[in-house]
This record gives sequence, structure tokens and C-alpha cells, in this order.
Amino acid sequence: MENKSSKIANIITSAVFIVFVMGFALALIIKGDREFSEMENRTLAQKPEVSWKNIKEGTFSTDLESYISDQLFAKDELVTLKTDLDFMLGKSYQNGVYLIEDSGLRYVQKYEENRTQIAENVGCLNDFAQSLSVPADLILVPNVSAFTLDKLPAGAVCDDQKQSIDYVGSILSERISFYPMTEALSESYGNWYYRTDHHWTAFGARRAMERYLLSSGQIQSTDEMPGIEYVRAGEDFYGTLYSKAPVSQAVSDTFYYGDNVGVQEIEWVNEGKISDSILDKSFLDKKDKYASFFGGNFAQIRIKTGHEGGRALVLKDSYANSAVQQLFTRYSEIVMVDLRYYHMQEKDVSELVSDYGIDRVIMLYNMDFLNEDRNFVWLS
Amino acid sequence: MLFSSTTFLFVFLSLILVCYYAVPRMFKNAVLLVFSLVFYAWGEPVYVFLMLASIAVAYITGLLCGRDREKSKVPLISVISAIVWNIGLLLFFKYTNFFIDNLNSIFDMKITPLGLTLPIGISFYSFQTLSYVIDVYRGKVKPQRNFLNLATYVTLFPQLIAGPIVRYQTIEEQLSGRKETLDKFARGVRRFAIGLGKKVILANNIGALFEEISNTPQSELSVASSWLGIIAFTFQIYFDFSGYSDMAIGLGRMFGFEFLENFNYPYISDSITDFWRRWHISLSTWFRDYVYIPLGGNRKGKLRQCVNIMVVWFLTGFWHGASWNFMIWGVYFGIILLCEKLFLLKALGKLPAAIRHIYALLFIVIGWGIFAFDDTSKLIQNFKNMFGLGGLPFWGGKYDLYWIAGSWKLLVILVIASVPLFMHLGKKLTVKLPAVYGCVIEPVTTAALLIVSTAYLAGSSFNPFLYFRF
Repeated sequence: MENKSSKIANIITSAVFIVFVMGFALALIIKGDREFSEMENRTLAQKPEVSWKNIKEGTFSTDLESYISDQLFAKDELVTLKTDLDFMLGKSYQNGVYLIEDSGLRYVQKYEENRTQIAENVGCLNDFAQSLSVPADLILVPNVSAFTLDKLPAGAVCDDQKQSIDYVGSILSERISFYPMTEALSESYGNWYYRTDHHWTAFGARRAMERYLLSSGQIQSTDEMPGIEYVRAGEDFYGTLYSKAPVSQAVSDTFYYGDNVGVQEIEWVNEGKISDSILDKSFLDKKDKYASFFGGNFAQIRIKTGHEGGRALVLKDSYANSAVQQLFTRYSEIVMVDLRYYHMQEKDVSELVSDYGIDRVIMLYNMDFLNEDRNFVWLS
Repeated sequence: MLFSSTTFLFVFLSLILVCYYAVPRMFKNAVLLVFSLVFYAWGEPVYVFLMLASIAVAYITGLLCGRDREKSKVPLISVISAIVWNIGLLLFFKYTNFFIDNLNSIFDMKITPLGLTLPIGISFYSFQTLSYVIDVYRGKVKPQRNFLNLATYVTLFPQLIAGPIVRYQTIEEQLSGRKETLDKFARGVRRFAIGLGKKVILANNIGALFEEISNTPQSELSVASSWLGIIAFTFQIYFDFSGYSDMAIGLGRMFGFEFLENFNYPYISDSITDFWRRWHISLSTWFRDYVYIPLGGNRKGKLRQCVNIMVVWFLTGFWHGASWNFMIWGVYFGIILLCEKLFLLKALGKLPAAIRHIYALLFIVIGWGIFAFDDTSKLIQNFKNMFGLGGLPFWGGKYDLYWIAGSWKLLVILVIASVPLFMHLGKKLTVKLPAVYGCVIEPVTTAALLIVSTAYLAGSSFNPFLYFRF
């Protein structure tokens, strides 16, 4: 009864399905498993062990499911296809980030002010500063959302970081000198922030540190800034925010880093690692290029800069990783402490200050971090 | 296991297709049975034995019902035992905790609830085995003497966990004498791709909006966004559930089965009576044939008919879940259907079509407003919000503009997908451009649906199945 053309049609449709189902199934077997996804920045599930015990307890089925979904053929491309379609359908907010038009696509992290947390965190900094006998500075860096509020999609919810920064200023102890970077980074912010990553660029970091050193009187003119030679990493840079919502219209960033920043010695104290470079260049070829500064975040890093000057302790988040090199020519020694990892150590931070003979405490945080992080309590 | 999972698509389905088509005819049902049991046992193996017990009960009582009713009481006793077993299972596993909770709160008692999880699909397979035994008793079908065939019928994975409620009489002959054909397979593929797309692309997406709105604090809502939330749920439940039925029907065809339709564009209904002829057809006809008609239907006078309608709709609601809102939902439709039967349909008939559709949609959406919240206080709050009694502004909630801007395109797609536009278009093209349509447009659409669905499965952890709790 079937005529010829409908028979051909049926063959094609059936073939499409067989190729689809069997293709993905075979690809799973053939292509080999990935250990780690750079896109998702996590280790992937591996083949579950077939055992009676696993099957009975039901762990086999869940393990197999996560294995299949983690190791799915062309997963990154499929996820991009999904976010592309979502974006086309008008979802300009995905996974905590806004996708905005800003002479090309830009990713902006949603910011929701949490005054209670800010007050708590600033309280910790204030208390800590009271116990100090050396000067303390707070360099507070807005995130790019502070400058793109007017470009967010209609009805988007994103609080104004400028107000949060003003609020911090209003409750900050007089023992701490306040260096908000709103004004310094506002003009041509496109140069100071990545489009696809939540960090600032090497140039944003330099600009802010220059402003800080000038206003705090540590240098008198910009000529005193270290002469750093910037080079670009080979590949295009797609940062953390891109991974949250990878769309094919994304505009890649260029990752620049200072290539001639020499130090005498740098020590990752807890890890017992010693080197003479702040850069871990292996990250320059990977997706997470920003981790090339110090190889990421660590509890305590001690740097002997090889220059003349005092000793500084920098309380920091990851923004400082690309910024702290601008201080090297002013200090002989810099100790970086990341409170996210500096817990229950032998010495608390105040003891570090006196033991190392610190002359100045510099707190360098981005606004989003101060708004959310819960580790400031480790200061007391 | 869920159809909308990569494990199902690329492990389970690929394996069963290979095995099923590799073995000779006499083993095909065995392959289906074994795979269906694995499918069912996935993640929760113990309840397989409960289902097997149910099949055994159906098998034995079915055989006994086949005896001559005139001469022996055995068939009557058997059918009653089957009813007691199936309804007993349902009451025990699905409703015990509901009764305990209510006794506890009404009489201030302190009975400890049972630590039971609901066996997946129990509401579906107990109705199916029940329909089998009753039909044997009624002499509509012959008892199935081959246990394997009966077990294959009950466990058949396409319809096992979320319906449609396939009746034994529908596939009685297919169980032993079906033929797999290229035409069936291709139609199955198309249907499955459509169902997968409905579920994964449409239902999950709009479901995320409903989820977001219903989790937004009261103070940040508005009258408009409360309606938007319920409209989102209206689309979610339709595309979720009918997508699942499409997948079931499609998968059935791939293995040579033809199930009955379960949905027929319910949102184009022009009355609630019409809606219930188009929505979850296998459930409403089940209640009609096994509850309403045995109760006397419309044959015992107007009053009795009204009582029967209300009983049926109360039960229909309660079948959906052990929670008050489902009962209210059932009774709500019972009342509307009763009014329509008594006078409303006549009155509506005189109105323009557009008004009739608006009327039907309004009551359907309000119905979902009851269905969506099993937390009574949330349900009441939501209705207050929708009808302006929640102290909310009509427009101007914190996220209103954002929600509209982010979802209007999807809503347009959902509206188009709710009406038979593409079906008509397809029919026209089949006649006018059969070769192009069949050899290019359909395969390309099918491939696109499959790939995009896979993309959504890959990219989203948001994949809850609404009809799981029933």
C-alpha cells in the first residue's frame, strides 16, 4: 500500500533516529572519557563499577546517569546550543549572569546587595584594624555591574554597587583609610574589566593600584609605577562568566599579563613551594588563564620582592592576584593572606602582623566578595 | 528511568532496539519484559516485586474470571479479589499517610506516618490490571493464558510509569500477533521526537518560570505575575504530560504497538465537557467505563446521574494525589460539568465561539491554579493574589517586566504549539509536496527536535517530571 516516496521518507526518518541514538551511544564508547571539564571547571564522573552491591544499593544507576551526562558526546557544544537558544528566546539572564549588549556581548554578574553581610564583614575589618598599630588601607573595587546598570535588560534586578560602596564608607572605622575605586575605573571601564570573566584586567588592576599609591602618598607621580611589559597569552580568553552561559555570540577577551615581573623569592607557605616567579604559565594555555597569577588562591603567600622598602600584609581576594605586582617596587616583602583558606592556622592574622614586622596592612577586595563572603570572621 | 534522560536515550533505548530486532519473534516479548523490568527497577529495585505480585494476581484472577458466570461464583469472587487487591495497594501506598496526617491534625492524634515512598506508576498499572480482570469478567476479552504476554502488557515500559492507561482490550491481539513495520517505526520516531521536544524544550522551560514565580516572596509579586505563573503552569503541565504520552505512543509504535490517543489539543476546547474529552482521555474513559457506568450512569434518573458525576470527579481528583487540593480540583470540575450538563452547555451554545473558548480557558486555568499547589495556604494565597485580594498592585511587581521580556517569545511558541496549526500544515504539505515534506522537512524537523532536546538535557539540571507523583 505504501507508495515509493513515502517508503523512502520512512527510511530517512528511521535512519535519522537510529543514527541519533546509536551515534551518541557509540561515541560514548569510542571517544574516550574526559577526566576534567575546563568549561565546567570540575572533574567529571567516570565509569561506575559494576557490582552487585552497587546495583542493589541503587548507586550504580545514579552513578551511571552522571557518567553518561558528564561524558556525553559534544557536551560543551550542546550546552552552547542550549544557551544560544535560550538567549534567542529572550533569556538574557542565565545562571546568575546577564548577557548584555555593550558594543558586543558582555557578561555581567548579577549583584544583590546584602547589607547585613556587608556590615558584618566591615565590622570584622574594623575590629581587626583597632588591634593594629600600623596603618591599614581598604581598596574596594566595584565589579563591572556598577558601570553597566543602564545597559541591563528591561526589568533586570541588579543593585547599584556605588551605593554599597558608599555604605561601606559610612560604616568603616576611622582607623582604616578608604580607597574606593569607583571613580578610577568608571571611565572606559571596557579596558578595565573582561567581557567574559568576573575579574578585572591587568590594566584595570594597574590603574587602580596607581590611584591607590598616589592618593595614599606612597608615590608622587605615575612615573614611579613599576615598568611592566605586558604580553598577551596566545589563545583567546573565555572566562568564568562565559562558562556559566556559553553563547556563540560571546566576544572573546585577550589575556594580558606582565612578563617581566621578577621577584627574589616567593613562597607558598602552607604548600611549602618556593619559586622565583609569580606566574604559573601552564595556565596560559588552559581555559582558566587568570589562575596563572600565583596558580590561583592560597592561604598564605610570602614574597621577597628584591626591592627596598617596608613590609606589607595584603588581605585579599582573587582581584589582588593580578594587582599585587604593582606594589613590588615599593616594598621589600609582601605577605598575601586569603581568609577563605587561612583558617585555624598556627598564628592568627594579628600575630602574623607582629611576627613579620609588617609596616602596613592593605585590604584589597571586590565589592561582590565583600557582599557575599563569610570568611572575614577568621580575622578575630 | 525517565524518557527525557541521556541514559534512557543512549543506553537503554539503543540496547533494547538492538536486542528486540535481533531476536526471533518468539523471544520479542521476553526482551520487552526483561528491559521493562530493568527500566522499572532503575533506582528503586524493591517495588518490582510488588508489580510482579500484581501481575500474578491479575493472571490468576483473570483465568478464574474466565469460567462460566452462570454456573459458578468463582468469577465474581475473583473479580472482587482483584478489585480489593488493586484498590488496597493504592490505598495503602498512596493514601495511608494522607489519612494518618489528617487524623493527626483533626483529632490531635499522634500516629506515626509510614515511611513509604510511592511505588512509581502504581496508579497506572493498578488501573490497567484492574481493567483487564473486569473486562475478562464482563466477557469482553478472553483471559490471557500466557503469563509472559500478560506480564509484557502490564510492564510495557513505554506506558509503565506515566500512562497512557493502555487497556488490555486495546492491545490484546497485538501482544501475540503484532507486526513491526517500517511505516510504524517511522511514525513512532516522529511522535517520539515531538514528545521529547514538548517535554524537554517547552515544558521544562516554561516550568522554570512557574517555579521562579511561585518561589518569589509575596511582596515582590503582582496580580499580573500571579496570573503569569498559573498560565506558565497551564502550559507546563500540558506539554509535560502530553509530551510524555507522545513519547509513549511513539515508543510503542517502534515495537509494533498502537496505543490509543491520550490528548487531543485540550486547550482549544470550547467547554469543560469538551476539555475532558480531550485531556488525559485514557483516564476519563477509564472512570467512565469502570465507575460511572457501573454506578448506573445516566440510566437511573437525573438525581442519580448528578450523584454519579460527582462521585466520579471526586475520585478522579483523588487519583491524582493524596492531597486536598486534588480532591477540590476534581470536585471543582465535577460541579462545572454538572452545570454544563444541566443548563450551561445550552446557554453557551448561543454565544459566539470566541466567548466559549475564553470561558473554557478561564476555568481550565483556574483549575490548574488549584492543582498546582498541594500546600493549602499557598493555594489560597495564590488565588487571593490572582483576584486582587492579596493586597498586590495589578502590575509593577519587582520582576514583572523582566519575566514578560524574558518569556513572551516562548509563550507565543507555546500558544502556537497548543493549537493544531502544525498538524494541519503537515497534512496540507503531505498532499501538495509529498516527497519534499516526507524526505526533507520531516526528517530535518525530527533531527532538529532530537538534537535540541539533547542540548537541553545536556545543559540543564532542571528536569523534574510532573507526573511522577501520581
